This record gives sequence, C-alpha cells and structure tokens, in this order.
Amino acid sequence: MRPLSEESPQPDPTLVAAYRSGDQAAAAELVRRHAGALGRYLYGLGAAASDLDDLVQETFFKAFRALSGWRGEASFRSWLFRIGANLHKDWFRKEGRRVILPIEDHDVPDRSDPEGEAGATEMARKLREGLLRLPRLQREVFLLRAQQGMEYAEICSALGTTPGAARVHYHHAVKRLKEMMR
Amino acid sequence: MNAQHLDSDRFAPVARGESRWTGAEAAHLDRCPECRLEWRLVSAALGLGRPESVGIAPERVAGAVIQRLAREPTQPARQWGGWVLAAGAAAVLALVVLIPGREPASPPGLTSTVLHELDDLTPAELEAVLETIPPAADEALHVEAAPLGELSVPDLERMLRDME
Repeated sequence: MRPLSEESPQPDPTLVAAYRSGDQAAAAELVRRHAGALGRYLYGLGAAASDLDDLVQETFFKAFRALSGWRGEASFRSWLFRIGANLHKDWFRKEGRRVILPIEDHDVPDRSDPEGEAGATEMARKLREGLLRLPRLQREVFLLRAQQGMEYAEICSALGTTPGAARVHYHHAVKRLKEMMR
Repeated sequence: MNAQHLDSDRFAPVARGESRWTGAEAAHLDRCPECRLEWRLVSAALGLGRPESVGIAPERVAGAVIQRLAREPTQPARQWGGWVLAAGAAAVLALVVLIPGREPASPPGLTSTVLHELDDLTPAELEAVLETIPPAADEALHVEAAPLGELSVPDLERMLRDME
C-alpha cells in the first residue's frame, strides 16, 4: 500500500483499503473529505446545529466499525450518508428529541446584500420547514440531488431504490416544496 | 426544457456551477416566476447548513474519530442492548436450522415482525448478526443468491422467519 500523498489525492476505496490495513491516517483523510458534506446533509434532514458534531462523529465511527458491510458497489460517500440518515432517524426516536428549526445565520448566503440576505433567510427557513413536511424518502432524495449534487445512480445506491424512483421522488419533492413556498 | 418550464434536472448542476444555462433557458428563467421559484429553492438547498457555520470542523472531527477508534478497538457492549438480543436470537435460529432433515419453510408472506430487535439494525449490522451462524447452518439457508448486505430489513426478517 502506497503511503498517503498530498500531491495525488487517493480515491475513497484506496483509503478504505489502507485503513483496513491499519493506516489510521487514511481514516482521518476520509473524515476530512466527507465530514462537511455529511454535516450539511444531516442539517438538511432536520438535525439541530448543536447535534451535528456528535452525529457526524458517530456516523464515521459506526461506518469504520462496519466497513465489512461496504462492498464498494455504492460509493463510500453514499454508503456513509445512508448510515448518517439512519443514525439521525434513531437519534430523534430514541432520545425523544424535538425537531427545532431556528433561523440560523449560516443559511444566509451573502451578508453584503441586506435585501438578498433577508430573502435568503426567509427562503432557508421555509426550506427547512418544508423539508420536514416531506416524506422521508423525498426529503433525502431532494437533499442528495440539490444540496449534494449526486446523480440519480448514486442516490439510488445510497437509498436502496432505483434511478427512476429517485427521479420521481425528486420531482415530487420539488413540486411540494414549491407549493409550500408560494 | 419542455414547452412550458425548464427541466427540473437542470437546476442543481447549474446552481453548483457544473453547467450553465443556455440562452433560451436564461431567457425563459427571466420571464417565468415558476422557474425562478425553483431556482431560488435549489439555490437555497445548496447553501443550507454551510459547514463553516454549523460547527463542523473536519480536522477536529477527524481527530476525535481517530481517538475513539484507537480507544475502542472492538465493538463496545453498551449501545448494543438490542444488538446482543439480536445476536442471541441468531444463535437460537442457528440451533433451529441445524436440526437435521428440517426443510426451510416456503415464503409465508407474513406482515408481522418476529424479531423486533432487528428493526433498529442496518443491513450491515444484520449481516454481522447472521455471520454468527455457523457455516453449516449458513449453507442450509441457501442465501448465497443475494448478498445479505443488499437485502432490505424486511427481506432479512422474512428470511429469518423462513428459517424458523
């Protein structure tokens, strides 16, 4: 196994293989690579910002402990997101946590434009509220597509559905979210 | 683009900068409030929960995860109350299927859940439970047609019911 090189980023399967061979730096690189996107995804699913750190850590820990379950058929990222979504679901069910949707500053894209800022804040608030009113699969597909930029093939491997079904879920999600935001 | 609106699948790639609107698409967007709403929606989704603001510091998370992996090299007993129950259930099932001459039942099409402990497990965890079954029992199940990791939880539960 070649040592990690900053000049040539290793693909995820290579890093996974390196970690399985005992290279903890490979695990750290996988975390650095995917933690931000995973946190944003969990936030979009409804996790409070204050829970994200714990959820992301737990997701990675669980993923590394269950690496034998990853066969490389789905991307590591989509497999990781699936674990994260399942953890998030259990997190609220087992802890009896309430979903809180504060208007959070980080949803504001541009502070140099007060009008745009207000509009973006309102849009972000409505979006978070709307997402929670969607069926879970629609919410997940919408986020994986619109927020994470996944193709339908990757989405279906993350969610265990078909590309056609993922496309339908996305379009239904968009339609319903637009209705909520009018 | 159809006759009335832009193709919904175009919004995400353009919002991410991976593609650009064509002239016709841009012109349509200018005059269509419905498509502008979708554009704002997808743009808002793209900006939702920016990592620098929601407290995710990848370097810090990486350090914490590595520390924890080093500290807990084996599966902790804690969170696995349901896990332990499931493993026990799997062991009992293994004994059942090891009884000579016993044929697996035909698919019953039941809707009730026999092993509720399995509800909380991911397919990977379920697979790990099933790996506790001795090889001889595993062969008796004839499950090699589909890798267990690809089965849904209901499918795995159905298979376990068949084993009883």
